[in-house]
Amino acid sequence: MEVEVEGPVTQRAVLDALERSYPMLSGTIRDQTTKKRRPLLRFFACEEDWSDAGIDDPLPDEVASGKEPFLVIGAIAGG
Amino acid sequence: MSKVRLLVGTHKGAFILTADGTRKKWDISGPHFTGWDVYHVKASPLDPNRLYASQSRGWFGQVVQRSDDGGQTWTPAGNEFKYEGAINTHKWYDNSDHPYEFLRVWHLEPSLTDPDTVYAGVEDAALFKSTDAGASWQELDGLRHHHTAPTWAPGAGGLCLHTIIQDPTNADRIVTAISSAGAFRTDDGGKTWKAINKGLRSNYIPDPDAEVGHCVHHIAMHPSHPNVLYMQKHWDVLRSNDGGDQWTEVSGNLPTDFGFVIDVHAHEPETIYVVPIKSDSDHFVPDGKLRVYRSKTGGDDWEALTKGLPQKDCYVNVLRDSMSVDKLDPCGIYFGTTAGEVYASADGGDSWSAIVRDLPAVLSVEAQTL
Repeated sequence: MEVEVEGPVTQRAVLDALERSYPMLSGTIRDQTTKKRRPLLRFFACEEDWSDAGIDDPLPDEVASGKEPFLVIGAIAGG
Repeated sequence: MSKVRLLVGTHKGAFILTADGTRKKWDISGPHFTGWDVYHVKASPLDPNRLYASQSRGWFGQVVQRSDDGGQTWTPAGNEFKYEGAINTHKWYDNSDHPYEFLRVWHLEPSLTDPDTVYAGVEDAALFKSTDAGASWQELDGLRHHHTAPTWAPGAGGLCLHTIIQDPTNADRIVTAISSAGAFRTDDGGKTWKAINKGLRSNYIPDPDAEVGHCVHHIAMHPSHPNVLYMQKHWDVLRSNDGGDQWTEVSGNLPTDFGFVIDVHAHEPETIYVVPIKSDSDHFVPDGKLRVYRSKTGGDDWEALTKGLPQKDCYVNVLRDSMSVDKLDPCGIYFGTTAGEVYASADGGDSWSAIVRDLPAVLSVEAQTL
């Protein structure tokens, strides 16, 4: 899915925009209050793992332009 | 004829079991919320088709589900549990100060007076209330701001508020329990709270008689005797005759007084049930025998109930919210195990049978009499 982001394109901005468009996702990808990523979800962009990057770090230009996706991936884990 | 509905939460979803008043043949629906931890499912006492369920998962966090048709269909309700005011700290396992952080809902307690009002006990320990059927939640933050809260430390399962008991004669009185802080009571609807742990003795903490720090596993009450509370602590079974102001050990002749569940017969306020567990390091029944113990004297004098339960090579646990009673006569008793069985007795505990086997590990059982 595509979302419109105003200002710097960061994890926070992308996920804020996603949750505005799809409110049912609020609290699922990240905690409602702390905005921490759920431990068994990972973020990838341009073949790089962005999971532990700062949530206000600028994402790659390819993501900002819509050329490459920002991927939210559920960990393949059992239990 | 009356019906009984069992609401079973498991490690991988929820199941709903129904039977007529004979309680001989059970129909099973589920799993609902497949793959999710369902810590608790409970119905409104005022509207038996209004159910609330707590589902959580490491991948996608907490969801509260609501059903208005007895569990046939479900609707996600609110999932925002925001602590009120400043975020204080509690003790972490290494004794460092750790900020309170919401993880999941352990227990949902629908109101006795309004089907749209429901309480939630959460990890990290706090009490929330919804007055719009779970759509939004507000913390009753007087509890988390109790003067002892910065010293509370988690048990192995986390710092969880797992027991919520409403006094049917006094809407302002609620008793809660937190592992491993202890029991707390409000007499003003949740504004202020009192630690009610006098008489508890926990040899595994620096001060065994401390005001807080006791790992209370569960508390039960009979609605006709709201001042009488029964407690299964980490070790020790106790009772209070004054709403928790003072506790007295009633472990008596139990083979071990470690355990998680405790419940009260629906029609006999002095008849109580526990399932002794070997120890805090060995979370399974002792001697390979699954035995419910019943006291008809409110504690101290216990009898083993074994008919229909496995008496060899059994190594299951019964978790704190996994026992419940129906209101039929004779009273039905139900409990679920970590091996996925749900056992039922339709004669007050004299005999038992497994009404379902091989479910995921059972986290909670609630009985409804319809």
